[in-house]
Amino acid sequence: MSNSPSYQSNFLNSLSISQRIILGFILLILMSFIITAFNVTAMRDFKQKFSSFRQVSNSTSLMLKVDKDIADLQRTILAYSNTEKSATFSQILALYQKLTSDIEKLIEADSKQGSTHQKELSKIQNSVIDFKEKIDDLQKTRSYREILIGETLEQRFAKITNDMTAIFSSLEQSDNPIILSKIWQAQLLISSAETLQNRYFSKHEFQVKKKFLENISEASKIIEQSIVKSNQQKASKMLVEILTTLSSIEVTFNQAVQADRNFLFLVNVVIAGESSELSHNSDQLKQRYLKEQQKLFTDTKNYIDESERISISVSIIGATLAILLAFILGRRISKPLISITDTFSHLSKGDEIAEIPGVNRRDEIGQLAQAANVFKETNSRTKELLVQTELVTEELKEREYALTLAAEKAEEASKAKSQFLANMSHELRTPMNAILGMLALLKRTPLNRPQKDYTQKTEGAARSLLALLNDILDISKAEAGKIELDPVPFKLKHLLRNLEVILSTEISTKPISLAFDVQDGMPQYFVGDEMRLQQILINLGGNAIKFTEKGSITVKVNSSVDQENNHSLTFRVFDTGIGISEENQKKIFEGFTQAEASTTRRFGGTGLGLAISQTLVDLMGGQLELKSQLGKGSCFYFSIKLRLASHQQIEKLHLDRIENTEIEYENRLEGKKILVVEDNLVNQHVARELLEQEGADVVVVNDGQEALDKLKQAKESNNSDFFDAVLMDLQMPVMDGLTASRAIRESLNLKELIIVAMTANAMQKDKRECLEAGMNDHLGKPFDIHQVVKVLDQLWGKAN
Amino acid sequence: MADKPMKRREFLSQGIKAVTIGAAAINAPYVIANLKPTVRVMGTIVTLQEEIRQKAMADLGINLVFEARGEGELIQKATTSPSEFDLYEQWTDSIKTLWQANAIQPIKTEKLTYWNEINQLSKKGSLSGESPVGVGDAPYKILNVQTDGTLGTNFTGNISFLPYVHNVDSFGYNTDVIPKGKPYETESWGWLLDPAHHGKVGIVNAPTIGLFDLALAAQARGFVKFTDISNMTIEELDKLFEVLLKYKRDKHFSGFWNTVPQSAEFMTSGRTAIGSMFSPGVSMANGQGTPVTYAAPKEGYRAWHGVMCISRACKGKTKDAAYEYMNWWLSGWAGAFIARQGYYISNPERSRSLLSSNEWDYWYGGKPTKTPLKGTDGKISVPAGDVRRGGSYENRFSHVAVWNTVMENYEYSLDRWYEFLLA
Repeated sequence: MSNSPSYQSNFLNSLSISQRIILGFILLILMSFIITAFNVTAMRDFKQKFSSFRQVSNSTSLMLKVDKDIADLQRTILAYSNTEKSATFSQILALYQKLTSDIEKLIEADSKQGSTHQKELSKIQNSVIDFKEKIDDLQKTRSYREILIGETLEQRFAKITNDMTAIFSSLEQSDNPIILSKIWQAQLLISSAETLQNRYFSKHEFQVKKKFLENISEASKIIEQSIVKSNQQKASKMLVEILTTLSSIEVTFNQAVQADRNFLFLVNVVIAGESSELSHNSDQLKQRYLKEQQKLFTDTKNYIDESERISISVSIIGATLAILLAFILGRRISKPLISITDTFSHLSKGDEIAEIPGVNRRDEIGQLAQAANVFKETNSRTKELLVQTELVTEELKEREYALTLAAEKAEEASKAKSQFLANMSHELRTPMNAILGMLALLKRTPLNRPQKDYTQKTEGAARSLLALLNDILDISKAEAGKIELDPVPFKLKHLLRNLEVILSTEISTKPISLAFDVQDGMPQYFVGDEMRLQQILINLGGNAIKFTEKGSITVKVNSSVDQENNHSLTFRVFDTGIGISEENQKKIFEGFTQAEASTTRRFGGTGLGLAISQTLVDLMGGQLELKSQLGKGSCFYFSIKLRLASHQQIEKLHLDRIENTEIEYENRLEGKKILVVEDNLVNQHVARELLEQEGADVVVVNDGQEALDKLKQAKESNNSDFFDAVLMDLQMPVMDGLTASRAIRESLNLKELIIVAMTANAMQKDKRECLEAGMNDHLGKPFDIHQVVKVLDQLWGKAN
Repeated sequence: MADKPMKRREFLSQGIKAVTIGAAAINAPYVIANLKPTVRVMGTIVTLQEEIRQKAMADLGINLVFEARGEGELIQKATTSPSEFDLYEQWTDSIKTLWQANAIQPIKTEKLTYWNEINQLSKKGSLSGESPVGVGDAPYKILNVQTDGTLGTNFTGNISFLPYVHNVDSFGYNTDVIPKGKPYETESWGWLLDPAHHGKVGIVNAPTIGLFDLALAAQARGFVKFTDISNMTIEELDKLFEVLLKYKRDKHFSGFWNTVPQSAEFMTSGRTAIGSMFSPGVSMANGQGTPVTYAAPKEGYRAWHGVMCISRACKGKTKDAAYEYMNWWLSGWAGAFIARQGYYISNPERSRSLLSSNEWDYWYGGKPTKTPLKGTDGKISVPAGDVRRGGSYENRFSHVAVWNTVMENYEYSLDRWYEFLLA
């Protein structure tokens, strides 16, 4: 928008675009109206002018007629005056009539035209009316003159001529020559006078008139003298007669001169003057008419030209104005529109715009501009939000990162803890292995009664310690989420019998009855983690025994089948012990917690059992729950879904049971050569002793390298009694078990050799690593000879 | 005059008189003794003025019937029908014609009360007896009826006309168009034929007057030389008309006027800027706002002298009444009256007492007027401080070039005039 604050722009600015367009159209329509109005007016004017022109033309032609009439009248009067026979007075009158009637017509035409020449016309008309009098005078005057000249004078001269002739004839008879010559002289003078008279009236020369009068006078004198001299009476009388005639001729001549003068004055001055004035006036008027006609013609022509010019000019101006208007309006509309469009496109691209154009306008563009302004503000707000969001995101990321770090740290910490626990359990198990191994070896020796009792009690304590150790290991595993179930087929009855054995041992001397209530007819063979299930039930039963002084402990087992043939087993362990208060019922599932601090002192225990049990139940898909009444007893119960074991699994279970029962403790490894790779000397001893008791040929090495050397040596010697199996410890100095195993498979190329890991690292991870390193199986520590035999038998059986 | 609207009383009294006259004509034998004599006066509007008629009728107790006509018509009518008028008032140039045509009868000086007061201009040719008389029909040359019946200078007791009104004429010019000249110095008859005034020149349609104006003009411009301008020869006339026709055909002349009002109208309408004029015409034009100066040409004036003649047919009581009227004219009032219109009277002293000294000094003395002067119509006709163009009565009549005259070759001039008019 222009910044010049003119009224127009202000006015235009105050209009909306539609109003501007309407205004533009109105202006255009107005313009076309003006042009049309102009054309119509011009046409009307032209019509009027044309009509005026026609009227003036009519008047002009009438005027020309009048002018011609006047000229005709003048000519006829002149002809008449000159006594031409062709011209008669009636002709003059006729012409006069024509003139007056033409003038009347002209006056009528003029009055129709608005009496523009009334004054001049009435002047002419009055002149013409006056003229009539002169014409009448003309006839009178002319005839008077004609009578005097043409008749009277002529008659008189004729009379004199006759008289003279008569005198001559009479005097011839006498002989008076003097008189005769005198009369002859007079006769000559008179004849001459007659000629002079005629000449005068045609030429009007004063000298002629003078000569005429002189002649008459001279003739009169001569006649007079002759009368006196004449003695002849008759002749004298005749001469007197002639003298009288001469005198009358003189008088008549003078009268004729005056008549002629009057006639001349009338014709040459009065009528000519009138005629001249009439001609002048008529000519003037004629000129005026012609001029008017010419002017009207020129005016009309000019008017047409001018109209044409104006029309063209107006059209051109109109067109120019229209274009200009369109341009201005277009500029005033399109420019701001383009500008606002640009603004919007910039805004949509998110460009920074300092100021929205046309915000102060009051039209549609102003509204658009305001919309753009809103858009712009929203944009900038969005941008701010975006920035803030980015900041927040950044912060969140940082936090996330921090959390991740924290989590990693925590994980690391957890790992470290788990590692620690693993290490711990390994380190604890290793001596425990040694203790239990030694106790087992000790029991085989011949002992006395107290020794046997001590050995038994020591073994019991060692086993409790091991159980505690296992508990701690389990809880740490649970916390680290590293407990993994190991589902195997099992027989529920077998499980419950084992449980009865274990719990009965724990009850020992307490006045408590242990009862098993198993639902009649329920399935017996399931696939599940038998050991863990047993562990749970031992925990629950152990607790029940622990917190029950007298009464009964009941283990109740129910099963139900759902539509998908899944069996749900519910285990309940009732006791009639001290019970658990409601507030403590929640706490007791947490690790390292017992119902009361005092219970620890009173009943002992780590308080880990329930936590481990709950974790295990959770893993099995159930939930360990509790119903208890303080002082009356408690009931711990859970339900788990278990798959039924297949027939093959059930059969295999039977076979295992039979083997286990048939094979006794000796010579099960007869003829087998076993390489034990173990760095701990006690464990080397335990292993050698137990294996050798089973009839095995045992070679012990201290580390992986030694094992490799021994195997390489044995391989190279190509001895027939090559090692049947390698029992490999994992954590060893010089070369660990995993490295050594890989080397056996790779370097020594002993693919068939049975390698079984022996490790306190009883984690699934460890087991996997062992298998990956090429080992065949895995055995936990403490070293259980039955387990070892069983595993080795299985492996050898497979190999064969 | 007839154009002038009459007051109601005038109209009524006139009407009654007209009726009375009509009745008198029918019942003449019985009532003639009781009738005032009626004098029919035929003439020009110069002297046939209603005020004069009324005054004279009142003073004389006679009836006056005025018939004003144009120059040409008058002489025509007078010469052919003497019985149709009793008194004839025109100019000295008509006397010869009238006399020759036997239209008028001699006037007996013994019956003229103021004959002796009539100045020497009419009787002897010049006022002082020293100044040049001027060529042409000077009044004294045709005043006296000679014993042989001709008109001449010898006093016989019978005169052809009563000398009364006279003046000198020249031409008037519109000073809006033509710069004002100096009297007797630059103003010249030659102006009439000055090509500078082409198409703006008006001439009186009377050969005895207009021809002289044109002859003086042609002579002043050196086109023609006249032996006697008042009596041109055929050759001189031919030569003159040769010039005039050339001018006429060249449309140098814009009009030929027949009456005084017409001459004024020519001026006021702009049809003419210069032209033959009479004193009242100049007054009229000035009265209508057109500043017309009445020139004092260095070549001298064209003088004219009014004539009052008795018709040949006039006799008895009418003739007595005519004499009464003639005497009344010289008795003072009329002289004073026409003095205010710029005309002179043949016995000025008789009128002097009826004029203010200022008026006398202006009109006759040629002195500047101290106060504005009123005309006979009551309107101011002369502004204060104005001096009469050409000066005093004596001075003006000392500059007469030619008297209006009917030349010997008058008829010939008429023939040529016709040509001239209609050329």
